[in-house]
Amino acid sequence: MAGSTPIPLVVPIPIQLGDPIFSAICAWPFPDAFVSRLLRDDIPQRIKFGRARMWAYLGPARDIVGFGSIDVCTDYGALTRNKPHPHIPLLAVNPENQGSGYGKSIVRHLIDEASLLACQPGNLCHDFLFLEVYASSLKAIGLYENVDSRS
Amino acid sequence: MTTFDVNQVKDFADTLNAELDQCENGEGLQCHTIDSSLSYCAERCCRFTDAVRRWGRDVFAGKIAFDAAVEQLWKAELSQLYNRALKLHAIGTQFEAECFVFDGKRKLEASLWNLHQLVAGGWVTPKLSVGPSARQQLAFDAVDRQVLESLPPLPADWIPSDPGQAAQLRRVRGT
Repeated sequence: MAGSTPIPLVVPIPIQLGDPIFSAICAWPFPDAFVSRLLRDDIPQRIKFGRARMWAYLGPARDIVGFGSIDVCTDYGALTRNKPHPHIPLLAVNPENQGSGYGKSIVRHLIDEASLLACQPGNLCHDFLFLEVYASSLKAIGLYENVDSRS
Repeated sequence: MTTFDVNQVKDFADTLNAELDQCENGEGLQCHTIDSSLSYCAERCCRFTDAVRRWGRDVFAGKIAFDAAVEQLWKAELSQLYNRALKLHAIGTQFEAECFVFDGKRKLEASLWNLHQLVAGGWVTPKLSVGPSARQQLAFDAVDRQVLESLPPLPADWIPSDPGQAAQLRRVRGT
């Protein structure tokens, strides 16, 4: 990818619901209210009652620059013959770090997690990865369209 | 169990408790040894965890309405089952010899861990999902399917860039 801006490296840290990191992330002032709602209401349920996992991402200064989550569910089972598939319920960059390119690194990590799930023995997880994006989230749409999962 | 109302949850828990009572009393062939008793309890713990998680997912997906009485019942039964299983686990530990571990105890430890995950970090009260995908049956047409089916598969030589993921892939592939 000659001529493109280097993607900043992030270090993924698995986090649990009771972790102080989770509480800290919930307090971030997200510009889009739906991010807070999904984080506060949906993610805990997907972790507790489903198969979701969540990561915080450390930037070069060892501060938390974002978070991401991945679930294995059948929300899009109509497209996978009802086979469980990876799904990204939510990811976000810390509002203080937006515009630094961390989103691309986070998406890359989550895509690779989905690929790992699809590689598990037993062929239990489909290799289609799904996520939803609000039509108004133009930056997010641009990010997802530009991520090449195999680069 | 399809609707998870109070009576159904009560019946489910009563059946499970009765089975464990019988096992503790040494009734039936399934609990004739300590090892088989541990396995028997592990299976009941797994069934219980599965049922609670299914209930939570069904509320999340809007398939059933949340009922606070059902939640209270689940929590009470969860606590009771967990303590009961812990006591059996302690008995299993007493009867283990050095360098010998009951298979049933390992199963029970795994199922206890899963039970504990329901309360680890705090109990979560299920509610209808905010995001649409869990609660809406999205409609897709043939074009959508065609687009997805035309996507290339993951390359056979794919290796993730994250070292932790790369190590996990090596374990999965046995390389």
